[in-house]
Amino acid sequence: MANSNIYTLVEFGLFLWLFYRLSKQKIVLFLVMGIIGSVAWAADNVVFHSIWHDNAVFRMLSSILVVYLSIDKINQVLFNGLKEAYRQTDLLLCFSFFVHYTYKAFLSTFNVFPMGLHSEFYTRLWLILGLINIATNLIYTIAILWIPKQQEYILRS
Amino acid sequence: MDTQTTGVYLTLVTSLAFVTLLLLLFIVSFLRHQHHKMEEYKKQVFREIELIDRERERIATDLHDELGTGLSAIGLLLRQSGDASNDPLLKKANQQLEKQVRKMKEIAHGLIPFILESHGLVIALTDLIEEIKMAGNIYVSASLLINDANYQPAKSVHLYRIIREILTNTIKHAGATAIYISAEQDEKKILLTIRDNGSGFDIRQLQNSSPGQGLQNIHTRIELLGASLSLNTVKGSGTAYLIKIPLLSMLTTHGK
Repeated sequence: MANSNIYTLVEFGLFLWLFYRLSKQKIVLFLVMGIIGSVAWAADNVVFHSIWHDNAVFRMLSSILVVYLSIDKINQVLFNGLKEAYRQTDLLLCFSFFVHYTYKAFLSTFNVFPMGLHSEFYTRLWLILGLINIATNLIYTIAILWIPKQQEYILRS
Repeated sequence: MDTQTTGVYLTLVTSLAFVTLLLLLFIVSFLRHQHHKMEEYKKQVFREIELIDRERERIATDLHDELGTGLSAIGLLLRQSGDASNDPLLKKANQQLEKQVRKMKEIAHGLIPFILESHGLVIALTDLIEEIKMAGNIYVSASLLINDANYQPAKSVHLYRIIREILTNTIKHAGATAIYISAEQDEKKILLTIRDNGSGFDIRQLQNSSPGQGLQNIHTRIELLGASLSLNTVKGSGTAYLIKIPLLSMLTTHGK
């Protein structure tokens, strides 16, 4: 569990780095998000819960931030037009993140607020996550294949 | 309520909360991008206007300095030849040339008023008012109580063009017989009022239709100055333009 908790922090950091590269916005925004995330992670794993337990609060917060960044990038692409192929790739990537992390944030709420529901209900929720994961990975693959090939420059002698 | 029903309700509430959150995130992001796009568009328009002004200045200076000087030299030669030979054709050619030089000066003056650059906004406006008085049967009263010594030249051009555009509109479309211009300045702002006794217009009709090029130019230049425009008009009762310009905007080079 501790490994998984550390992994979520690293994943969040990588997402911030990815969106910084994609959106070309000021780095300050991502640094602030990173600091907020790190503080929330530390609070969740040290103050409120143990690192040996599922850090659901951080998972929910990081998922919501990833969802916001995805929505923001989708809006940015749509506002600037979809003419260039790399923008279509960005759109597909962000759409896959949006779908996956929206559901993950939704799922985390059941861990943040234990409602004492039937275990089968939770199993089904996780099963849906599995299906969403497949769909997301498919979209992700299409997005990667969609990345335009770099132009070859021919130097004539 | 049994556990299953509670579970369904809780899941529904959580889902609803998430949909609301997503919607909020979408709206926030959408508004942010819309604002950003609008700002970008404005900046582009401002850059274009500045470029047009600079190009106008270049053309006017070229016309005045290069072509004007050359034509004047030809005129001098023609006069001398005409005086020496007493040839009526040469005299006629000289008259024609003088007429063309006057026209060229008018065009250059329309592109950029040189007096604005050399003598400042107040003198340029006074000159413009005199021009209007001479051109038509119209009464113009002006009170220009502003200190233009420290105004940025580019900002003076914007203000001059706003006033010129308003006056042109008044003369062309309003059929006014009297125009009252007042400009006052305090520590924070410049207050410019232009009133006329013309036909006025229906402001709702103007709001519903797309504005003409002239009015659009006025609005853009007003935004460039970070100023505000208030328009009071009733059909048949004249029009009053009230423009408030922050003094700081006139003294600094950057935009609003």
